Amino acid sequence: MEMICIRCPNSCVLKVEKKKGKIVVSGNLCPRGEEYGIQEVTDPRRTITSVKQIKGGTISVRTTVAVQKKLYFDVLKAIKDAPIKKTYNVGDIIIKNVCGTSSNIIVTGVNILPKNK
Amino acid sequence: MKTDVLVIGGGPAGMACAFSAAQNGASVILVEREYRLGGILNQCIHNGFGLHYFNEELSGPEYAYRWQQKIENNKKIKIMCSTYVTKITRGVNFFVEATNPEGVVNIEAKSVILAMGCRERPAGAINLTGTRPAGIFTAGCAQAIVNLQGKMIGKKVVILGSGDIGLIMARRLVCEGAQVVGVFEIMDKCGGLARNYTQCLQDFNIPLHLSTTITRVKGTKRLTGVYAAPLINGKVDYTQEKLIPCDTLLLSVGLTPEIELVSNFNLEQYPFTKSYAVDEYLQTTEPGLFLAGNIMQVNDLVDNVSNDGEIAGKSAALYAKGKLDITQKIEIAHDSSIRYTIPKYIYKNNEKSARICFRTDKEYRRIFVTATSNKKQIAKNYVITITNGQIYNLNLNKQNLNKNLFLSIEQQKIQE
Ligand SMILES: Cc1cc2nc3c(=O)[nH]c(=O)nc-3n(C[C@H](O)[C@H](O)[C@H](O)COP(=O)(O)OP(=O)(O)OC[C@H]3O[C@@H](n4cnc5c(N)ncnc54)[C@H](O)[C@@H]3O)c2cc1C
Ligand code: SF4
Repeated sequence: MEMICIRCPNSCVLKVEKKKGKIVVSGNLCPRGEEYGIQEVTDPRRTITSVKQIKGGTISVRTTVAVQKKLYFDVLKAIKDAPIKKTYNVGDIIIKNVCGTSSNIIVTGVNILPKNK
Repeated sequence: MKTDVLVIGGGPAGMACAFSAAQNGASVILVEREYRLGGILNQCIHNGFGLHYFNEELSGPEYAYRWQQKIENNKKIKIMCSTYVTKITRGVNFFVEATNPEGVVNIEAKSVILAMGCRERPAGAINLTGTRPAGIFTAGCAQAIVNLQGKMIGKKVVILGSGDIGLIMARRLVCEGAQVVGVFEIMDKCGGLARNYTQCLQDFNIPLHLSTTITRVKGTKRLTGVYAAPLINGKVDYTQEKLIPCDTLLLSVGLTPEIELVSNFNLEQYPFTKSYAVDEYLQTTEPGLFLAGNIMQVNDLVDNVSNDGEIAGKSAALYAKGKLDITQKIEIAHDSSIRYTIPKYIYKNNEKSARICFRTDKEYRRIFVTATSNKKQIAKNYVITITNGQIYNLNLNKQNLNKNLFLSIEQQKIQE
């Protein structure tokens, strides 16, 4: 099977084959590609990123590790439903083990426009 | 105000410039028009940044944050946000005029680096006929509204152009509850990276219509639909025009470099990148004036942008000290399969190697990229594929470099 490694913008074209019961990946420029190829045919996962409204602006967030693809919209909903705190910093965990996965949701950016003087 | 190096633009390119100029002993002023550093990265909330630089898969804002921390407390770097550069002139030094909430700022600098990035081509740049209703956005502008302000732009969306920003926005809008009817691309292949086609369109079953374009828009107050038609032999076939109901149209039709600020200088221009030609130090044909990042060429990889910044920053610091070695200049020549090279000029100097990047005229598979100097081959690299659009990086070992340099692409001979 041919697929595209999505781990970085190089977009290597991977060939994923079953040889003697083992999954063999070729076409990858780096070891991440092999990891991705095997994962994609056994248990596809995605890193999910989103935005959440907070007081006076927004925060951007992501999953710390890739989560099962089928949980995509559950994770997005959990992010929107998470309670709003007073302050946020980059790296803060806003949800632990989101939707029962081993991934946390962390803050990647805080967007609060400065007040005009 | 006086400084050795002035960097204009506080995106990833500008931040790396400032860092590296300071590392090389220069005093630096970094000027950014927004209220904070980060540039376009602040709105690129998706992941895929920094794999090669930090060996981690970060989102855009995190990548910017890392760099910001590297330069924020550096005593040699003065950061001026909310400051817009309006004019650059030169005597022996450069004189730069900027405005900010306090008034006009005058800065005198020994060298200047332009790191102002790109702006999007607007609707006016493509002949879109019809009314002018609300609901038509450039993709990057939509990205800023959705990601920074947290506001939605519409419910039923058509995207024209399959560039990366368009693909990424297709996914973002679906995640925010909109319906993306389809992405329309005038070319016969996807404009964005294959990875973005996979994870932004395929994952969400969003159709990509190749060799198809939007011919007109419909609606008075708000957009109510667009007309799409296929291209037959490069010509729009109006007989097959079809109305597609939607309330929003995103345009992802390319970027142009922010080069107008220095149009008063007589710089050598590149027709292909619509920017200026540079040498190995990323110096333009005006001594002491440097480029870095997307203003020089549109990059897919922010890591390469940071890399540019480090080269330009170091070079600008050396120039300010009068130590930039430009004695033996060589123009890089190439065959017609290579569209342009950056840099255009390299030097026989103490640097052991030089990074040369280029784009090709079409897709190539199983080729050798070769470099010849004085009829002697000095490099031969095997490449499995280069797609057109993709930037190829050649790390040239300069030890055997002579008076000239020629780059070419050779097909690998396959023995049957
Ligand atoms: C939608 C999108 C998705 C991308 N995805 C990826 C990805 O997944 N992985 C990856 O590695 N790369 C990605 N990239 C590429 C990468 O983000 C860019 O190449 C990089 O950010 C360009 O950096 P820059 O510093 O040259 O420009 P910019 O980030 O645009 O910074 C230019 C700065 O200059 C300032 N400026 C302009 N004019 C003036 C003036 N006159 N005075 C003062 N300041 C001024 C602007 O305000 C801006 O802050 C993506 C890019 C886009 C647009
Ligand atoms: S294999 Fe490595 S280099 Fe190629 S796309 Fe995947 S992560 Fe990038």
